[in-house]
Amino acid sequence: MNILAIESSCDDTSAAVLTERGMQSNVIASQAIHVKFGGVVPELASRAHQTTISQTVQQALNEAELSINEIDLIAVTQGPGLMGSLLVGLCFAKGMALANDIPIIGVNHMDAHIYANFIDAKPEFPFISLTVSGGHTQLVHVKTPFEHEILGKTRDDAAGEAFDKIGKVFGLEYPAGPTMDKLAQSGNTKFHKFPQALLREGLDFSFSGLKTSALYFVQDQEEGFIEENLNDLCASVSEAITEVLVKKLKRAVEQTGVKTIALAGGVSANSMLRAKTEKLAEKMGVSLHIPKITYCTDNAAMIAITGKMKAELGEFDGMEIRPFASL
Amino acid sequence: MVKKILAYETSTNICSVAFQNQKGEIFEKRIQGRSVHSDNLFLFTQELMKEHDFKIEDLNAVLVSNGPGSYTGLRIAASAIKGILFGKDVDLFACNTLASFAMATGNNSEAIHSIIDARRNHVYHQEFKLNEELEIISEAKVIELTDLEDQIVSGYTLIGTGIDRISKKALENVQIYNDSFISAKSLIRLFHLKNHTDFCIRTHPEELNSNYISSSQVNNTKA
Repeated sequence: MNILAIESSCDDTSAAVLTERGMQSNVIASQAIHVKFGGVVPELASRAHQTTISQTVQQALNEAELSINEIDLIAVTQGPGLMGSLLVGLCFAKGMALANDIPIIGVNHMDAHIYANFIDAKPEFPFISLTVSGGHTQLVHVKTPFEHEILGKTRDDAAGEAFDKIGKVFGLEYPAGPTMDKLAQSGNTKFHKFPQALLREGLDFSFSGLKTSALYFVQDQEEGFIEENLNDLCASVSEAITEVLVKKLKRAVEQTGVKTIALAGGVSANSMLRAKTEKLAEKMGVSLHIPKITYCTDNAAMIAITGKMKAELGEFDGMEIRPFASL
Repeated sequence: MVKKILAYETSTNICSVAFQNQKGEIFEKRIQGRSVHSDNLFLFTQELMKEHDFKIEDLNAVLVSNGPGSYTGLRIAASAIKGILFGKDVDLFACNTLASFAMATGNNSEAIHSIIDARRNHVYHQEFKLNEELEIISEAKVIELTDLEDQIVSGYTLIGTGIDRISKKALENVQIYNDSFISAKSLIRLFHLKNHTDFCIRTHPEELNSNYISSSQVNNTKA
């Protein structure tokens, strides 16, 4: 089965082709326009998707050396995400499916982050997925394919959002997460102890207090403090965020007794989180799955693999499917 | 030979899809409401394809109402058409929405004012004259309701959305066509005009960009 997948939930337009031979292409067109605004501007994002979607899909087909006539299934992100952005990808996909009489499957973006782990591996069910991105932070008990129980989630900011917002306080360009990760690698994690909210309480997360704490901490310092201690500040903030994520993951594994854990979402590309999770898995004797870096951030390859899994269960959609902005 | 044409009108809260067959007969599917476009545009197309036994590649032209109008409605149609015509050798024409509204009046009139509610105190507006051909009297732009009220006088024709926001006094002796006249059928009528290239621009689907008329223009009109 040849699957064409389309993802446009936020500010990346992506298309991928999955065949029996594996992932043949995964094209991602990122939108640079948002950098000057310090965050994603929804209206600009949807206009940019509209401009790039045809070329992105064409490139994905070219790289896979297939034409639209050779596609057996179209998988597309249905939500959650920015409504204007979702509409572009979904309507484009529905148009293609209609005109070429190709079945279509709408994919939940959050599910797709989890099932990105199945692109190059086959994690055993049940497992716990720590799904962390700019929009979400969740601990999900994945019992069987698409049978999910959310054990914990953020009560305010997502972990990726915390990285980006605190990075902005430190004067870093949006999106700050990857830069903070790089700088943190040569910083001192014990430079300052930032708060680790809800550490002893259940499986929910909270990161808004950390953002405020970081802001107040640097506001009280002498001029030039941030520049002189940027690596240490990034390391200390990264330590606070990843420590909470990993401790809650450990608690979820203990509560459920699963033997497999998985990381998912853009923040799973964070090197400190990866290292800590690897250490945790080793200590607990559970197997760990982390997608390749290119499959961690928003991408259509994860939509393709999830579409394939839904097709195997016979879960097809029709022209009536609509996008949904929130979970 | 009469052309097979498919036309899309989504610039307001009306979702209308029309098909012209080779006999020149026009069929339409239409619905009005909030958030009705993203599913009905496709369902209507699918139904028309089944009922009239045609494929997309059988079409001679696809027409899209390209704005101004609702950002979401225009975006849905543009994205859908990019997908529908992906890899297809079918001509696409991006048509002036307000000009197609004027065609719905079927009215030989010296002054047809086409409008779309642009919220706040504004409307998208363009004035036309219709005889054998459609003539542009003013450019499409955002104007204040009070400016529109100053422009329309007895005997003029007004068509579009937001008419209920205009004062009753200004509407005295004005021929009114409300939103029930908004239809993709008008795009096909516009396309049949001899001077249709003044209003319908041949476009590659990849390069199709809706004519939003920016919100900054709304903000920059006089206070």
